[in-house]
Amino acid sequence: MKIVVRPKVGWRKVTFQIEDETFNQIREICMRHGFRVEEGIKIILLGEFLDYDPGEDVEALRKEVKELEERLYNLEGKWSPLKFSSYGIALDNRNLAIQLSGMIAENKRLREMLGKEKKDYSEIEKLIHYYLSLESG
Amino acid sequence: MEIEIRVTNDEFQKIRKEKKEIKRRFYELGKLEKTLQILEIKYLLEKRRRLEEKLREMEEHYQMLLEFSKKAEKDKEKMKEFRLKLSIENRELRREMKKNENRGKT
Repeated sequence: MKIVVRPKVGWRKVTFQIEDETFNQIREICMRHGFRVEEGIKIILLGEFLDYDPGEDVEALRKEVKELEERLYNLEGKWSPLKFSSYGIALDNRNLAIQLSGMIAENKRLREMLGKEKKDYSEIEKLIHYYLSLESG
Repeated sequence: MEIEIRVTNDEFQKIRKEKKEIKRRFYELGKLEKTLQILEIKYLLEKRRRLEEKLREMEEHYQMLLEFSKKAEKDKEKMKEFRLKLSIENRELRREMKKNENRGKT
């Protein structure tokens, strides 16, 4: 396998010749750790080797990341239908609030005209206000 | 077969100078393996951190949405009950008004 190294600017090049078997070994190592072969070769070319104990087990970490991804995926699956149904209920409640607000106004007017005592609607008016102030988008 | 690697100009100068040494490095695959393992661990640690953060945020939002949904369901029943009560009461009041109006006419 011929490895041709070129600068980003310019026409010069440096060539290395390595056995196919060595190249395949490099490629396998890169794939095992999720890197492209070009990235592995660049590390060799620049001698940017790392050598310390990372204090973590790669297999355990891979498993942990996979589990987290699965949890996130499951949660997203539950989240979307809940968001959809909540939106539906909020919309229903908004319509109810509009109806109620008209009915309360009518009730207040009729009571006043009939000389009846005023009623306290503060609790339900809080709900009406809450659902009317929710963004409809 | 041929593979082309592009490097910066500074890196290219370095590679030209160290050509002999690099030839030897191609056979030190244990070092490459160790390096890539460390880099993979660094990548996985960062990925784990981001996933944990996203999961925490989503769980919080999900919980909020769940509570909102429960509250909205209860409120819906409450408002429907109130609408029925008010509808009956308003009908009665309208009837009373009409009765008063008719009494006024006679």
